[in-house]
Amino acid sequence: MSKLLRGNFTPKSEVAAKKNEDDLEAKFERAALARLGGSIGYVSRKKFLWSGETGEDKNELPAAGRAAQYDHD
Amino acid sequence: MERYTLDRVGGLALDNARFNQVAARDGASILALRETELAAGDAALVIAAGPSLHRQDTAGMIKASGFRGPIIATESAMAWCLRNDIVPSLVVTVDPHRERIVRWFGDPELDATAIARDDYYARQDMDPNFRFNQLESNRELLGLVNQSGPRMRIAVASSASQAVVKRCAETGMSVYWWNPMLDDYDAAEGFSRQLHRLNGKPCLNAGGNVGSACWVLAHAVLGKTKIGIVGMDFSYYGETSYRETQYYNELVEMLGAERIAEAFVHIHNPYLRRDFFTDPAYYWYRMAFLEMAEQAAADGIRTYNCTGGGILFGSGIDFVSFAEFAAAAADTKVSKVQG
Repeated sequence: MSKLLRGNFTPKSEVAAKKNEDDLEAKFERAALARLGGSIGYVSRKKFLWSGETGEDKNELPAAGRAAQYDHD
Repeated sequence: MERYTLDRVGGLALDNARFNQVAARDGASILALRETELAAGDAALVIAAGPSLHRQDTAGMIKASGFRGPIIATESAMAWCLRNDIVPSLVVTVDPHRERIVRWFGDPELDATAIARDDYYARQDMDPNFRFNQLESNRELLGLVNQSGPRMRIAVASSASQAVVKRCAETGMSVYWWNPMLDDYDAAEGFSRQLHRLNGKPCLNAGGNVGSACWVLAHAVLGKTKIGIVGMDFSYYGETSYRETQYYNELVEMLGAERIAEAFVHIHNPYLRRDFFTDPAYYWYRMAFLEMAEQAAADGIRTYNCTGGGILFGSGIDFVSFAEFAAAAADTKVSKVQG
């Protein structure tokens, strides 16, 4: 893939792809979640109840919640 | 994870919702539950089907407590409730699986071929009664649900399978409809809006699983501010074999049987001083629940986890005994009368 996706300039210093022990774990986590999923939906940081444009809803969740860690990929 | 779940079940949920369109559109909304006796008082008890339900005398504790608030049970815990002479005030169902979920209601179509096709019930740890002599236990459950159906209400998600909806109707349960929030309702062409357009019913942010959906319904629909929970483990006891875990087949396919241990996370419960292990999906349920519980707590909603096992503890959740929850619920009633 690196041969296909070339940049159009040469960097002054060598850029190494970030690799650490977390990569494997994160890769597994993504693969596992993609395969397992949940029984049904959960939408992080949104209201508990949405009744349409005219509905009386409340409880929109704040921007930074625990499940937000799963939003990255 | 939200996207993964959507990829995995979104299409089936929409297919089922299209099939259920007329019934959902013309049926009662979950918001109508606010006009029933279930909305009285500010405490409710949620019963989910985690393994802790069977490891202590949960039914005895509930009966002895004198708790009088509504009991909201997952469909997977309904059989346990009825076997223990506890008739839930409200049952909740959401998972769109075409064949598995109806088993929790007693499946009139179940035969040896169907059992051989899917080993889920022979492996699962949620209700040991379903594991052995499946045809006989199914017959027993058919009778129990037929008998108690007319006394139960059920909150049916539009994503529920045709088999589940049919079974609810034939048992005489009172059906209340809702839509699962599959994605951001602010997205103009999103799945949630599609569901809402199909039948006009409200969308509930279900937390990824039916147990969490019960809890959301208790406060967001019924307005409860004190919610007890039993049977919500989101994990397995140490002596559970990997084969008995919910996603065993999928994990073996991913990693191979020899590496399956790598898929599990071990978590120490400091309240019980005991270790439990969990898989990626259950772990995500836990994180989603903690996020929701924290926000609900900011609105004055107290969550009492009386499961007595598992990994659902953290900010916004009181990890307590059932007696402590029952006392808190009773205190509420007293203070209301005094006020």
